[in-house]
Amino acid sequence: MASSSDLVASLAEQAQQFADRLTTSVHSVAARCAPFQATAVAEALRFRVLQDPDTGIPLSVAGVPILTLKVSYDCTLDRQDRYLAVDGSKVSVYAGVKASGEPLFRYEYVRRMRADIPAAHLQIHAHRDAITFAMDRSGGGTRRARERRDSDAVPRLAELHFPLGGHRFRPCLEDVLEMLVEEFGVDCSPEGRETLRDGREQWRRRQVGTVVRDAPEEAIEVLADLGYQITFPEGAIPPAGNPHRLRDF
Amino acid sequence: MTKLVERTVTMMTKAEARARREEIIRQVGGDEQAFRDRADAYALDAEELALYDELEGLDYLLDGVVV
Repeated sequence: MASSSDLVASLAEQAQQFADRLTTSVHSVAARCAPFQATAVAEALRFRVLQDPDTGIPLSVAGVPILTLKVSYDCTLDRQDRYLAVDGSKVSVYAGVKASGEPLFRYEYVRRMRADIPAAHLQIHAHRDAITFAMDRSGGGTRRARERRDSDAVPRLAELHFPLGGHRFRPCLEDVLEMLVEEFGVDCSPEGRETLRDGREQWRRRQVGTVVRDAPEEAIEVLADLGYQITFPEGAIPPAGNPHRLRDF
Repeated sequence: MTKLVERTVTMMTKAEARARREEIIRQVGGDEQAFRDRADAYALDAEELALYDELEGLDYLLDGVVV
């Protein structure tokens, strides 16, 4: 069994790698931003990874900052004390050059979320003027932004397409229905709730199978880690997987 | 406070984290509940919001203290 200091060292190393990955990704849109910072308390098996500067990372259109990004991840080790697990994450986008007041929108994940709120969710705060002001300043680097920039029409919030997990991790019908029950009090019996959860589980199990076919190497690695012995018939050609499905927006 | 692995991982002691927490509360006027109420109402300016995020982070880390 690993000592507490070994676990902290392992978590520190994984937090470092995690912070580096976030930095690499954010450098795609803010090339000169400082690296993400990970902070830990020595006696805790937890890290928080946060963007730098602490007032948020400015995002520019044609060199002019119009939005600000704030990102935080609360991390610990998984149940086997081996891999980094995310207890919570928050990705918020604000109007302006510093994050203050209310964001336009935020994506959040809370591992131990209360039962009546989805663990992973998107919250849209944007008052119409705030979001349309930002949309009105769209750049010309992409077709959608260029069309908006060149249009005389007042931008509408409905024109924005917020990503929700792509091909494999998208929400299912049951997620939307349970959201309507929780948030609007739509009629639903306790049995109906169970039916929704059954449907969600079926959907996600089916998606797990699909994801395994997309990336069989990862599945083999995880199963081997769990103690399974996996062999492929001699002479057969392993399936190539379908990695582009995991790369698509 | 010790910097590990270049400069992106910072290790604090429990005492340092608690002291920093107290310092943040002092910086925002000494009334933690009032500060949290303003955060809930999205009424913080940029520097206050940064302090609030730091406070939330320290609380998360201190909650995980195992010894």
